[in-house]
Amino acid sequence: MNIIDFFRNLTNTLWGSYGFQALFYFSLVIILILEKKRIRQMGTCGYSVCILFIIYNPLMHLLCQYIFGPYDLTAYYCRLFCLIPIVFVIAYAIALVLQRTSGGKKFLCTFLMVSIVAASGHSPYGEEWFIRAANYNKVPNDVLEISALFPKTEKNISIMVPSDLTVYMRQVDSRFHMPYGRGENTGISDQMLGETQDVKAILNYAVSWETDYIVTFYTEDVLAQYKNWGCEVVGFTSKYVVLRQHCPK
Amino acid sequence: MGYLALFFLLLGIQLYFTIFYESTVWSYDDYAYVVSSLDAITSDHMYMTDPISGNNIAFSYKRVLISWDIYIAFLSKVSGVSVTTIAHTIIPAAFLLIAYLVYSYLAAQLFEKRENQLIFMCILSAAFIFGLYSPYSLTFRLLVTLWQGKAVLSTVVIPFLFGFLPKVYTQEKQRRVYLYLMIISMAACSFTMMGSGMSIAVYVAMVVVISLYQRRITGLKYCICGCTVPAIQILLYLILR
Repeated sequence: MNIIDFFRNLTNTLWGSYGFQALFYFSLVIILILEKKRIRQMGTCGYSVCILFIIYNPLMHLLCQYIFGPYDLTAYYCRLFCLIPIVFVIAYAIALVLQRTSGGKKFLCTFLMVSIVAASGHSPYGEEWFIRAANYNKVPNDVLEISALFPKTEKNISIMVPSDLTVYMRQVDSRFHMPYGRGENTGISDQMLGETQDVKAILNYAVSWETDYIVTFYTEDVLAQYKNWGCEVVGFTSKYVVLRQHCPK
Repeated sequence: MGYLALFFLLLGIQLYFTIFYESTVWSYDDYAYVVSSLDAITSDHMYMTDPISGNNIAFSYKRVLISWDIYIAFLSKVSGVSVTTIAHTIIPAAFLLIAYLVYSYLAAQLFEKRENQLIFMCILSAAFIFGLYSPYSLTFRLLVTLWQGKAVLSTVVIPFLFGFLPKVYTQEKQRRVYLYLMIISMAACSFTMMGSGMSIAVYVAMVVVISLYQRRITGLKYCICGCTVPAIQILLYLILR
């Protein structure tokens, strides 16, 4: 990928849409027009332009490639955009416009601007991935229940879990040792989320990785299949069953 | 009073969601760093445990140069509160308030009148709440993943430098400011490896901007002082990798 394509992809990845980008640049213009103190103009607009120049600079790209290696640098580069005070510039520009009013009208205009920002913007609070937490640990209760099933005297617990629990297990309990991490071996870990499972393949995987415990989605049918292979029930959570496998190596 | 009430309402909304809600979108950082914090307590070693398998490994050259997750481990150890609660609930709530203290400092640099400062804070709060244009936006960092080192860097430290540096670069040189800048740089570097590069970029950009404003080279000694620790960290990273 040449540098121009890289910067184009980077810009699309960061901004998502042109609306917010346009608002940012428009705010810079407003600051240049309305702000009388040159130090504040330079501090916001000059600084923002300087940082944009540092980011959209082939030398910076080369430097990042040298430091981070010849990989896709998009994720690293997007972090550099945190240097640009985008939200502050927009808020500053709007506040500069509002300070030209006074009294009750000023407060009404402020309230109106807040409402316009709310109506035209996008909040994480409305996203389906932003949910009410089940506990202050901010992990599924199932993970806490799985951890509680094992006595404190048991130090090393080799365990494999469905893909929706992988991320949480070792955050809660460092006794767990897992054969795969987030996004790995999803052929196995995704199966354990549902009712249709290739139990033989899962157990073969467990044996090959010397994994004693298996956490799987619980239904009577699924449990019966595992029991047919000699697995022993350790305990249950609201959605899952924790099994100990005894398959020969 | 009306502006203050509006601002506290918006801040209260953010605090409420920070404490009682969670994101189910996980980045690799959380998967590795929160686990590193817990492993540090359990194993009594720093950065020598694989986050997936839990097995001992040679130290991670990238992680060994930062200390944010060890700080979380320290807080958990001394308080007895679990690492996940510290990381996902207490730190985001505390640093949300710290972030807004920094933004109020910024407001004081931009506006003389208290009323205008409060208007700025109200608009800023609304812009943060409704500014999710991408997962790399400051909104995502501040309101969704504020326990991560790079989120604290970009929502607290960088905005602070943005307000602090123009002021110190244009004032008469004071010795204590050198100390302040070194401490801030060390803090920036402790959050994430990117902190070294990002803080250098801020120091250099501000020197350029203020020098253009004053039509002479200004703040260079402060810039060199501020960039020393990040430069050492980058050098150590290049040696260790």
